[in-house]
Amino acid sequence: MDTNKLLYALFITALGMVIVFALLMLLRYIIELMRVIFEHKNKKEKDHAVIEVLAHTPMPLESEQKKADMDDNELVVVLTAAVMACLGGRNDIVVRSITRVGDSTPVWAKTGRHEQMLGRL
Amino acid sequence: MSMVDELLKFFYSMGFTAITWQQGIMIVLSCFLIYLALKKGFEPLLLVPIAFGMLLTNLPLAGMMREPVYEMVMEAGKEVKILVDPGGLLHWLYQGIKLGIYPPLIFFGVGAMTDFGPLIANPKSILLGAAAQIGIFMTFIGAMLIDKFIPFISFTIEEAASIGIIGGADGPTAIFLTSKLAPHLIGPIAVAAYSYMALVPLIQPPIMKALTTQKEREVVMEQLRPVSKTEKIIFPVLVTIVVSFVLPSAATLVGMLMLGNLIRESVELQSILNRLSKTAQNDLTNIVVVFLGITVGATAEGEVFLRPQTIAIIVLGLIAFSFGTAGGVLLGKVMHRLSGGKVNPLIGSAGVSAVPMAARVAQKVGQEANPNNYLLMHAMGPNVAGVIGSAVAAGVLLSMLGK
Repeated sequence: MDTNKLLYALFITALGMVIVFALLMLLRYIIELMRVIFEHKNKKEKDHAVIEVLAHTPMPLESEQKKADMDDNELVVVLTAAVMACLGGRNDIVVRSITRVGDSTPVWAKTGRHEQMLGRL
Repeated sequence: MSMVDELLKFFYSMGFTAITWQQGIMIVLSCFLIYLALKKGFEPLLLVPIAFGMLLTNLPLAGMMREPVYEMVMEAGKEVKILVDPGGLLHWLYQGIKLGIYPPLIFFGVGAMTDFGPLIANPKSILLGAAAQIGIFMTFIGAMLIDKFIPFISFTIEEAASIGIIGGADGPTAIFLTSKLAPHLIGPIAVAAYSYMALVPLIQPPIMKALTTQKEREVVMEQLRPVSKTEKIIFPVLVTIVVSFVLPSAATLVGMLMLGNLIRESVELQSILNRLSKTAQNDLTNIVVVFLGITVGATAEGEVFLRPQTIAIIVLGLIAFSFGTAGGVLLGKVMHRLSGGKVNPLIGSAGVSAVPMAARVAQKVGQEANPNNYLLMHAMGPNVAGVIGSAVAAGVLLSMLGK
């Protein structure tokens, strides 16, 4: 094989990696930009969002995800609403305290769960 | 004609009188592959049709891959083409590969099955999907240099590129590119690509462990942010436009992948799309997998397959996978340093696509180091980015080497 061909292959390699990286970098910034735009919008609609969560409570997961950026009062409201929804819409519930329970699962139980999950993966 | 002649004629029309040694070996090999698929569970969905295709194409005198035969006849002063032999069934099914139809259809189904959420939530992980493509290009160079080490094997630049794409760990992409650049190698390349994808859980962990420290593997990553539906719907449209504007040759694969994904993500807005989404995910993909598998297997005709080149392709494919994994993990290490220890470098290995097997491997190796570590969703980001990455790499090779 002549050297020219090898040089051409090296050229393709260099250019190929540059294009792959550049294009995916571009996509990365576009995704970041998209996030900035939508986070901005979401902030405006945040007050509405909490009320909406209250209105459609059968999705406790969503309220959990929002936990991080809510203050404690909002958290109490959301958790209360979730409990109410689970109990079939009863409104005679008063939440007195919410305590975070430490991770008390024994290692063997965790291992068992991992194995089960891996078995399904 | 006497009865003896009749009997002799029948005797010579039987398969075993015409079998070549290559066909014999290929038939045994295909039976072994069927055994691996059924008994050992090696990608049975693909390996059963591929292995059976191999069996069919190597049946002596059956001619399932034979081309149609036309005869030119003069009729009323004009030349007319008359079909003498319509050709074998597999020849016609093979047109879907030759013309590059099946792989994009598979991508359509893959798009409908893929959740790009983890990638949108952590856009940095897209770089890991790019780094893992280094395996493609390293193997490309390796295939070009092979005649320096083994004098009787050499590859042209188009063949080398097709071998390199095995490192993309993406069956449809490998078949798509090979069908355009070096169609005679589809058999060995597809077999190598799909075999290594089945072997990802064996190939990757040693490399991942060799390149990372115990401490790095133990890193637990922050939970991903939730991704809004709007972002998920805009993403496929944006990616299609951006990628195709920069690299038109990648439009076929990326476009079909993203169309599938758009339909999947729009189901909540227009529930009628659920029908298309389900068809893309199940029925259509299954049908195409059967056609694709059987015809990929059918390209492995003994005379073509049993050559030293095939062994070289299979060895180079392993190198491609290993370099891809290493590239991803090494960039993962860089990101680990730059982020102040927030990124677990193991997720880089998932950048070789092979969805979702490579992400599962990252999850498993991470959990071996730290039982409280759940890397699966974090690894899905680079994993799906790897699909886009290898389609882009294929686009680059196609635009530079394609005719």
